Amino acid sequence: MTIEREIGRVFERAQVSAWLHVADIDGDGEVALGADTPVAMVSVFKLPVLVALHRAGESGVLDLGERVQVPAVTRTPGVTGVAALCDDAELSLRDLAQLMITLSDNAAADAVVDRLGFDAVTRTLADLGLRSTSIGYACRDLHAALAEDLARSGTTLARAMGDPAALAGLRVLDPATTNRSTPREMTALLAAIWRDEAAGPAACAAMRRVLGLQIWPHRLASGFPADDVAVAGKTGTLPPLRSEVGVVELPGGRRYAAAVFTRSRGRTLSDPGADAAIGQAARLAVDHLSRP
Amino acid sequence: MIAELLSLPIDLVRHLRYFTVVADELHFGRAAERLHMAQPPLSQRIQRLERELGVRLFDRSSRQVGLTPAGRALIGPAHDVLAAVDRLVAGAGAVAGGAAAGRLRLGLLPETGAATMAAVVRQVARTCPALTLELSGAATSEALRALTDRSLDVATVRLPVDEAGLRVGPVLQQPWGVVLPAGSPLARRRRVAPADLGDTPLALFPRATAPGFHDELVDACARRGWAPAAVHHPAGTPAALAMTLAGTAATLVDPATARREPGVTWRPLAGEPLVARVAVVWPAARGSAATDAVAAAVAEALGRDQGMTPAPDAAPVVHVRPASAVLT
Repeated sequence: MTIEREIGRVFERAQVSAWLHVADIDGDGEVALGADTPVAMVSVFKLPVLVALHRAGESGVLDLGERVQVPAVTRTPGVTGVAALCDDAELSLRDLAQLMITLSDNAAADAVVDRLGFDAVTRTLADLGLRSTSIGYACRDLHAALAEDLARSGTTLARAMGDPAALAGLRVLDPATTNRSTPREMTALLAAIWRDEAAGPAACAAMRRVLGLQIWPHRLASGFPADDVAVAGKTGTLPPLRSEVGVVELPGGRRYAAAVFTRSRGRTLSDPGADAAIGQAARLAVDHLSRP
Repeated sequence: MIAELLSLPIDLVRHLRYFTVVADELHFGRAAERLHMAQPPLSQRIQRLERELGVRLFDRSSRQVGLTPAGRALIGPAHDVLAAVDRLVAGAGAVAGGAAAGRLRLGLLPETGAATMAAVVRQVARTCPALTLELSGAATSEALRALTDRSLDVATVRLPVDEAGLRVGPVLQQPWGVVLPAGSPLARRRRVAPADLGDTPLALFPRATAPGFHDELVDACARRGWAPAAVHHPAGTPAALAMTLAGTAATLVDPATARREPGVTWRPLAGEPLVARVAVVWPAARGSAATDAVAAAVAEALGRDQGMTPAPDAAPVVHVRPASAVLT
């Protein structure tokens, strides 16, 4: 059985559609399943924002130590980080970016985007040759589009689960009408960060550190339970979409960039099977590529 | 003229109908037969109409019956009046029945029982007199297939089902409970604690007939502390009840079904009530006044005859976990 078939069966068992690219950061090896298909990024868009912010800091356009007010009443809501706090907050741009990545903090992400601007993100993507990636919506824009589309069809996200007709009307799930990329461009971006090519070495090291502090254990990391394997990454979640893009570093130094995007067919918001399939699929690909 | 007609001391519509039938047959015997009456009263009614209108309508001079010139002049207007009356009556029926007319194929759950099915038929006939109802028994999965391939127009199904492409009309609920042999020690309690059933095997309808409801029931038993050693799937309620009577399994049914079977006792499970939901559904693209009217009639009959009550339109409880929240 080919590795693609084997990975395809993992996704089939989990009842998800999936698009995957896993690539050797220091070589040519790759595993690809729909790797050039446009996908909705959901929270994965925060990764290019991180890169653009560090490039802006490096070039002196922004001071990453600048303190930013994030008032409780106006900030973007969410379930983690500053977005879930009760009172006004004030953090440095650098720390907001860290919460944006490690907790997928929506308020922090929008505060960074507001200061940085989408033009800087677009320039970064162009400089790095990521032509299939397009970012122009902040978390609050995605929330608003979702709320508007759900209200129009008189439903809720929980009720729309498993109903293709209801989900078809949601712009945030359609790569054509939201922030989009491809699995291959996300592994290219990660490889650039790990090879010190996305910015200068100091900025890339800072980004690698932040990505390595991400808290979520249920996706990419779940496929690599060994203590001597390092996993860094950024998740994306908007049921039925679940994704993670990240880097797996094996003992001995081999490094692999992985981008896995899934869409669940089930009827529930929670889908631990899909979360786990992301880790299993990446594990199969990494094992395949690292086999002597 | 209208005032004069309205002041006629006869039932004008009925007399005009006699006039048109006799004019059609030109034979009092055959006309009387068509009107399901004897010939002499028919002749008297025609004479009465002629007296009231002040003209002779028929020429009975020979052995044949023929229209007089006055009769020929009035037969057209008589038809016009009767056609207008028909339109009036049909319009009234349509308003009452929500314009529900034509043929409608309704699938009801087989366990609904003949008496309740009859109540549905009567209710539909009462509220949609212009509708021709074709009734069949169909279990949930079968009904959903039939709605898809258009061999049914409206059906009752046991929830949960995949609602994609369906309009879900009235949702009714009824309590389900456990059936015990009448003499069993557990039957003496008002409610049966699920844990007391221990690992007693569960006998349920075949899963394929309503997989969503089947799994909901099994899950509900497990959540309440009844962990059956096995789940048997005898075909048909009598077989499931037989396993209960023989003491080899316990089964879950609604109280109405249990009442029909002597020798068994129905008891609700203690704790959160076990509730079964039945919905009237039809394909979303094929709704009409008829589907709405029939759905309402079915819900009313099920409510009256089977003690089902409207299910509260409660939003499902959703605890969003951070790992599944929007934008994490």
